[in-house]
Amino acid sequence: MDRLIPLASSHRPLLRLGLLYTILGSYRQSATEGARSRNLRWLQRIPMAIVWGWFAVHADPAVATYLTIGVFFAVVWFEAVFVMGFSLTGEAFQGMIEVEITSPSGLMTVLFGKGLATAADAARTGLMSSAIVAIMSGLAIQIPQPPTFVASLVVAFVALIATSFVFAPLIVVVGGAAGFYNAIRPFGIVFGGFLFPISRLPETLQPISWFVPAAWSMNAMILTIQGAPLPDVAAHWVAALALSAVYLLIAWWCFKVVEKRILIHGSMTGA
Amino acid sequence: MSNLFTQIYLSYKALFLWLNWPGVIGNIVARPMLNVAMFSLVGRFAGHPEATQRYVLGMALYSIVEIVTGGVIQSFSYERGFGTLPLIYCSPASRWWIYAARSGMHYPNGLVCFVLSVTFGAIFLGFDYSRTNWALLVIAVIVVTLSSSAYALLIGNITLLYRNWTAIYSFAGSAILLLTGVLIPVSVLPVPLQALAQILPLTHGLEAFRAAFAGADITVATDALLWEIAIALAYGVVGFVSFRLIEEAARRTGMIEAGI
Repeated sequence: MDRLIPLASSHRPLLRLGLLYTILGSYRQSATEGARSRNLRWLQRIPMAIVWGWFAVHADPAVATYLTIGVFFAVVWFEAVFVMGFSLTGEAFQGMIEVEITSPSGLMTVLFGKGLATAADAARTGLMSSAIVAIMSGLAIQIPQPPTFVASLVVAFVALIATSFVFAPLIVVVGGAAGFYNAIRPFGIVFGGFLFPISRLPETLQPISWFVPAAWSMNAMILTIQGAPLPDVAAHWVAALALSAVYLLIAWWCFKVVEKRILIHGSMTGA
Repeated sequence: MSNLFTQIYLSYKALFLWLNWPGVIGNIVARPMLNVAMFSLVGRFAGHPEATQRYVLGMALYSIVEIVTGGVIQSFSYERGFGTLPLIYCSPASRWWIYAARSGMHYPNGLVCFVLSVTFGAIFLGFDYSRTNWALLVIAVIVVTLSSSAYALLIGNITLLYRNWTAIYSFAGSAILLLTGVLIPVSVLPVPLQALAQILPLTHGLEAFRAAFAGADITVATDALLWEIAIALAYGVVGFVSFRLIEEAARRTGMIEAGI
């Protein structure tokens, strides 16, 4: 949007503060709207959590721990990628695109705030699912390095948000349509390593996961559970965060494409 | 007969919103294979390597239910959403054919999903087909696809009464995944749920299907196949009666949509 509203360099801090306000405001708006339209989404995840819990019933503590944590991320992914993926088209449907695109903060900032609200909402359902798996596993959970574990959790959550967020503009740019997410959801779970380590994938398929930030963060999680030294874990955090940054850059570029299409053609698809 | 085929084709083309390249590749090609990979690999990781074959088979058969249910349920929902339901109610056409036509083109989709799932299992997960009784396998798959279609049609009626079809789809799929032995053996379920499993599609079909992969003779699986067919017929009858009742209620109350 700098192109449209040139700002003197002295105004930059003000713009950054404005971006923060925008993120917070869109977060609050989306959280309020989400609370109204949450419907039965949380209830829909219970049967699947029971299925994952079944896998954890006789698993050893390390596996049960991994599954308990992984289910949280799998559920957040399941919810977030779907809701974020339709967020841009949803904004257009509600007639908000014009307002957002003319705002100095820009479309991406608004949708990032909404994406955070979606992730926070999904996290509640994820926690419920994790609790089900933990109970079914007989609470056979072991966390050898709590501080490292918490850091791994945070990195994994950041990676997951970055990956989900890219689908908001990407789906519009590539012309994706209804039903597309039914494949993206299991794709993320398989190649993101949420429920089993990537090393368990057939060797021919493993290279795909190198490009998924969550796969690196989940590997960090495994190393944490196994009590690996901090530098080994940290190397995976760095890889996950670097890839997440690349995903956010891709999202930024896709948003620019969408904004340009809207400004030139008056439509998101460029038609 | 030509009207029936036109009805089948138009129901599919107009009311199946996954009928675009990303949707077809996502739902009919990628999802079944990814689901097989996901559950069998989690099974191996969780320490059930011997059960991997069981998970691959279960998910391959479940892929039929998943696509048929998704397609048929949304056909019902969009019939109402797009405003063509009143035209159906005004039409003099056979209600049975209108009802059954909705699953016509989803039936082959189910078979495609199944084939892709087992092929993926063979190529990437080392699935062994050497002992398979192919004749029994084909019969089992056809019967399960039939019962899945009847189940989907019955569940589809609910979307004429309740708007959120994705929630209905999710619950319908979850019930099958959780209770029919796709992943969790029926024998470990609580007794009331075991009884419920006996009247769900797939439970008996899976039994015949697994027998086919173990190389069993068709006589071993006859009972299971007959049960699956009986369940398909029962769902077909109950579903059609429900469809007619909803229409009657709509006529009686003057509320075309959600007449009950």
